[in-house]
Amino acid sequence: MGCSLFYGMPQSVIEGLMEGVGEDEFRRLVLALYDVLTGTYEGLYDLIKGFDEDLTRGVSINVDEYYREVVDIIHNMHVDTYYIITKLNEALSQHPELLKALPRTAPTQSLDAVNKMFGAMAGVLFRLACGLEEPGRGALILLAESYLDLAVDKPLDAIVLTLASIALAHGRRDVAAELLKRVGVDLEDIINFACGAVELAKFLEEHGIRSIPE
Amino acid sequence: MGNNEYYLVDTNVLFDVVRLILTVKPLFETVLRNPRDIEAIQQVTMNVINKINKRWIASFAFLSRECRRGNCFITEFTQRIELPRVFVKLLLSGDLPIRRVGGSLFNEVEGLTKGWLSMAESLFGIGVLGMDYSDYEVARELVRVYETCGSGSLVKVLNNAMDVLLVATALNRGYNFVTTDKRLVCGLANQVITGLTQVPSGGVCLANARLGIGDRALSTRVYLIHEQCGSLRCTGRERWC
Repeated sequence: MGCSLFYGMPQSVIEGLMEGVGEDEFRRLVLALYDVLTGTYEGLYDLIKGFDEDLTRGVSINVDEYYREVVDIIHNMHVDTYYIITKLNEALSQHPELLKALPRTAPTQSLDAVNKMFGAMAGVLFRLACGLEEPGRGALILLAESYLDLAVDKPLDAIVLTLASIALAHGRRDVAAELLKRVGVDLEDIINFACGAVELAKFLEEHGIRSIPE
Repeated sequence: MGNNEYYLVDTNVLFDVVRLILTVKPLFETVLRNPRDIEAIQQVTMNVINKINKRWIASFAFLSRECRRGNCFITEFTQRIELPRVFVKLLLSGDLPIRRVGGSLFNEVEGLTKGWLSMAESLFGIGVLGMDYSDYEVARELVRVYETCGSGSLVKVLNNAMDVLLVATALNRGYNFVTTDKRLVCGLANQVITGLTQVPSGGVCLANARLGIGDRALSTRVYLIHEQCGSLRCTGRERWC
């Protein structure tokens, strides 16, 4: 999930970025990485959509099956990206000049910005959620927690929490609780923690404090 | 990480959680004011992202999963010395505006500190751990390790006496120690703290703390939450011995 920047890019953009990069093998590997990540994205999208439709139709939900599917998608993505990135590193060590041809944006900086954006979105959702009643409160907090998990590179937890959030929004607390159990999360605990954090921040704001120096 | 674990938490980790929520306030207000004003939202988002430290996100993610009611603690020393220190910092940085009061400035700061902590206790279920003679004994033993390293090492460890006391208390109680203080972890590296690695969660490093006292072998886990986790190394200069 660390390469989520790739997800939104069409293949033509990736190909454009790779123009002028000397080695065919290297270009092929970057495009393969793109395929893996977009494939993962599509797989997850279909899974979440299917889950939402099942809940809407009111059919019985097999939590184990959904959980296994998430595990498989994330596992395959990890294995495939690990393989490709290892090969990419080999190619780079043999042809360090390729580094110069890569786009200028430092990938770590971009990834940092994406992770911080997930963190910021989570913070906004926490603030929003804690002003609501159930089940909206719990559903939004789970969604916010899933953003936090994306930011700290825990994609499996992130997707399971997203599913649990959807289940809660459909009023299926039982399905949400079953899913959360798989990743060791207690709904009440994380609601209490998140809304505790919001209350503590508000306490400081009431005293005119808008930030805490490092 | 498990359900029945206890954690001794450094104050800064707690403040990180609040820092994240405080920092997103302008974005929250912009979204509420006009959710369709994408341009304004984008602009405020960029400002907020520039202010956010990755460590705050990691601290929030870590504590929200690990701190259940009654398994996370700060110490009395933290309560009475470290927390007021943070509020004095807020005061002198101008972040905490106070009205002109006739009474004691200390009382003013202490009142705010107590109010905040009592909220943290009831909302997070954070407990305050009273420390006793056995904690002191472990801390003395830890300092003795550095006495054998020479006077320079001893000065360094005593300059960080309050933090050393925290590590000693965690060791004595068998509580995991959660901190953002790389200086402390690297200072104790090689002698008391070893094996700094990344846990499978961004921004969190894991290390072991060990200390032998007579026939007792004390050990615990140290979680260092730091933006460089993944590539973080302690240099020879950073070590106190």
